[in-house]
Amino acid sequence: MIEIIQTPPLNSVQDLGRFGYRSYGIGCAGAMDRVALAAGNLALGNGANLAGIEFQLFPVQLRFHCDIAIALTGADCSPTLDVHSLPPWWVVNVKAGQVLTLNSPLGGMRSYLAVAGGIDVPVVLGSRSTQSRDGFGGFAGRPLRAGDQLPTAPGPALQFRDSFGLGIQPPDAVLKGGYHSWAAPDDLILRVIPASEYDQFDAASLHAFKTASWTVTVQSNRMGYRLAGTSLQRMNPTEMRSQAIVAGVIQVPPSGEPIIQLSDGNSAGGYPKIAIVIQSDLWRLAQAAPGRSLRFVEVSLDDARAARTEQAKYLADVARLCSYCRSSRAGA
Amino acid sequence: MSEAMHSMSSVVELLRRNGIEEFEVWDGASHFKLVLPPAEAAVPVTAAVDFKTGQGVEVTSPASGTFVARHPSRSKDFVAVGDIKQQGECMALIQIGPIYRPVVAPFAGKIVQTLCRPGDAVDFSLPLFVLQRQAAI
Repeated sequence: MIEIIQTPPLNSVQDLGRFGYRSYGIGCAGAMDRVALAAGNLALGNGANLAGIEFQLFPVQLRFHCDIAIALTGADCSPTLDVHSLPPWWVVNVKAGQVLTLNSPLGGMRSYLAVAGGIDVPVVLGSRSTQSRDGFGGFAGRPLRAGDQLPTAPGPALQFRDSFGLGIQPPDAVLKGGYHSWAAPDDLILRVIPASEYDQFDAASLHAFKTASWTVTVQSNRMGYRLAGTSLQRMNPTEMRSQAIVAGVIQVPPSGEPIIQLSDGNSAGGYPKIAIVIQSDLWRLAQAAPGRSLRFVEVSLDDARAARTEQAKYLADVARLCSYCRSSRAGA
Repeated sequence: MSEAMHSMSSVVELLRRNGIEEFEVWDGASHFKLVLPPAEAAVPVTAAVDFKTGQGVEVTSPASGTFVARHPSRSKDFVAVGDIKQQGECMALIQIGPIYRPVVAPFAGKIVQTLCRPGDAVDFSLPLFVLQRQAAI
């Protein structure tokens, strides 16, 4: 069991998402940075989809009430276990009574805690993710509060080659992102594929979309990111019927400033869709804090497939090499 | 590093850890023999230390891989010469594919020398740092 000693609002239990219920108006929820949660789970020998905790606000303090192996991934929140500091992206055994402290990250936005066996909250509609807006799933259908006691599934007791644990190379050091010839070194480059209303935008807007620098505004959360930059306009602005949307879709409301739909996004929407961010780049966006500059670069479906294959290979390598540094103790 | 190298490395580490100096396997067709030089500095590090003069002790690599002095998510190296580290603190990482194994301070002390540069390929028991016991500082 894990006791939450201190947490700001909006930290919640998430797995990789709730799929198959969009036709009933139920969004996917799930971790914003799926690569981080999946890597943490795989490093512990869990299935990639087991539930962990997503932290978006800090500081956080947790106390473990059992001996358990944990993996901390995502943004580097300068974690400390009791008084000992841990490197980022770290996998280690903790003992009952130990306190984990997570601080505000200097870079990145969201950190993830995975535990051997996973966080044992009930599966609702095929997932353990917290559906914050609808108030179900996760821990009691709501974000975590101080005093919550999260059950952990009885998992195997793990032993690592080094008692200090082992690290995972963060995906941004491994996975190649997109390339944009106008981008500054710190710009986040998102690869996009044109969506259904792409052709309705005027030439100046399409040019601006692909060349301008966009800024993540403070109106950005798990539902979506609102961007600031140029105003994008359609040649013939007409009202549209609502259509299905998925995480990654870039909608352009009448104000002309795009919104990227994310994990807690709506299942349908009536704003025109200019493009969709490829799924393998959504984890990068999940780590972009307000104020970060973005650029969009158009890629083909083949490029998107190649990016997905590269990401799958990274996760497979993490799973394989972590298993080489880990063994299950008997009598767990 | 290849799979075969990994398997070999883990065999060598097992032998080192258990103080075995010779290892031989044969199955009729093939024959394989591994002879390790007597462990000069078995893991964890307990090489000859002169407590009185405060002579440095070599901290050696726990694995064969690439020496990483700075975590890619951080802007500062784990340690610099002159730093004082407590027992059990992380001093560097050894990268093997997409994972890292930690180099941990075997006792509290001051780092007097670094013997490897970031990106260097290192082997088991290769000295990485010279650490001076705190009592002798």
